Amino acid sequence: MTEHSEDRKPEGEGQIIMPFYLLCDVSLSMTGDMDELNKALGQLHQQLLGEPIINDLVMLSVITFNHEARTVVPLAAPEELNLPALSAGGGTDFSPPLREFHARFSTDRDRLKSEGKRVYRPCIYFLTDGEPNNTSYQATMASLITKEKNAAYPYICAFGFRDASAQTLQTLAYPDFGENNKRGRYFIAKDGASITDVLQAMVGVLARSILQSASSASAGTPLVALPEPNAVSKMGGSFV
Amino acid sequence: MAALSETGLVVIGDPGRTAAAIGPCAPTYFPDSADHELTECAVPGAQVRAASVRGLMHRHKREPRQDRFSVVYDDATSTLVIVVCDGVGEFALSQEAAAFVALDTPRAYLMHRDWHAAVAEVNRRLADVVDCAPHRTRLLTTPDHGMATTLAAVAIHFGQTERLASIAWAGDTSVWFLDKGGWASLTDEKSDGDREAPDSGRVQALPAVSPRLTVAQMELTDGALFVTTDGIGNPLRDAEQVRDALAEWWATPPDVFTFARQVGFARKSHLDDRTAVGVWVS
Repeated sequence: MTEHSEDRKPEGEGQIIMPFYLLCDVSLSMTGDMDELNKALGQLHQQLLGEPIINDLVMLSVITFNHEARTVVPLAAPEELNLPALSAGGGTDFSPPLREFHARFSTDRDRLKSEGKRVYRPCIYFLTDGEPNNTSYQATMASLITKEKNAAYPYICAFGFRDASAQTLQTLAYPDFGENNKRGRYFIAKDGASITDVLQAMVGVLARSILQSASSASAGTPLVALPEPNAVSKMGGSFV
Repeated sequence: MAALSETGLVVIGDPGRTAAAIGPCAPTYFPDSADHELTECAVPGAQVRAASVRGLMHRHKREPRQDRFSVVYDDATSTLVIVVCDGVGEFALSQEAAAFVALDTPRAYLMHRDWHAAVAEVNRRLADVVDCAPHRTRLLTTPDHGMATTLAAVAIHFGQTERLASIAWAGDTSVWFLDKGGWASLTDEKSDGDREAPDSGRVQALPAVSPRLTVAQMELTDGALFVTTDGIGNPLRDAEQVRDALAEWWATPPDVFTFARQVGFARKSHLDDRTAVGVWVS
């Protein structure tokens, strides 16, 4: 075995990081779904743990929101994640989670870059069961999220069920740069689909999306690979 | 920290999980593309070691190694020509572009004795290769016939009193100098990107309407030159651990099999093909 005497140098210098943020609606209307949501998040975690490539390239954070937002899982590799049991309550406002994402990604990125890591463009999966109580999130999108105001803009893929409307989800999906691999997209549950079905379908497609994103690293240009609009059973998908 | 792991992997720092988890995979559908390729040679005034190692992600995805290299010595002019190419991974057949450019560039350089003229000719001929790509037969029929490659090349003239290296590059394939003072990149270009934008791996590549080629020269008195694809160049640029380990290992020319294992070192998140051609002058 060959050992170098200077072993205090930063371990992660040059490491590629592909950051994913899961923004989950935990407002009062989600109360009856929390067991299923917690179970789905656990399954997603297990699927990510099962892929060594994801563990080497991807970091995931979970932000919950109702009328406010908080980071319940800080950005970390799947093998370092601890998922708390989520509970529901409160109203629904989309602006706080977008603000929380913006603040946390700025901090996460600064921290990782100070460690010498290479941080690639973030991706948001936005999950909601309803309509926001106000439209202030649109101003937040414009001032903090979009390319015009944020060079480190994220890709956003929105998932909605129950009372969520396509019209609202469309305003969250981002960006719209023409080519299909540079377009946000949104998915809405088909009529009659149970919450269990929807969450199960989402887990599979999120894990595939994250793996495909990580796999693009071999092309030299890691890219976020969002699900194709027809990729989620029980949900209809559209490009923004 | 660099070490041999229990699995026999050469490791620099945290190896991550992928290197140990991905062993031999199913063979690629492109049988002209060996997983690994090695060369060692000696010419008057220098020792050469070359290794190209298929990346872990390509093994996982059953895709071929897309890096290529060539080493040529012209006896009449005492000129060593080294070419390293990195096929652009977003295209399915980039290994064919990389192979063609690695094969044809030494001939073109030795004919023109000028990198701009040589690369312009190779670029034109590569465009013909691209045009013919849909008509060539392959084991695997691919709907995508796209291909592109980066290039870095060095021609070292071994004269009576001096050894002059002429370096050319297009894209992020890089050339490095190593001596007792450590590593120095000979192909660094100032980034014109947005500092706030997340890191991007976009590169200049061939074929191109107007190839963007940069040329430099240096006199070699001692030390070693390394021509590398970004699978080596990126961690070498970004990580002090990698610079220290490779500087120690490559202070003198190792045997070619050791060199290849070192080129394939395990380090978390570095899953790309790796190619390095080292020239130790004496």
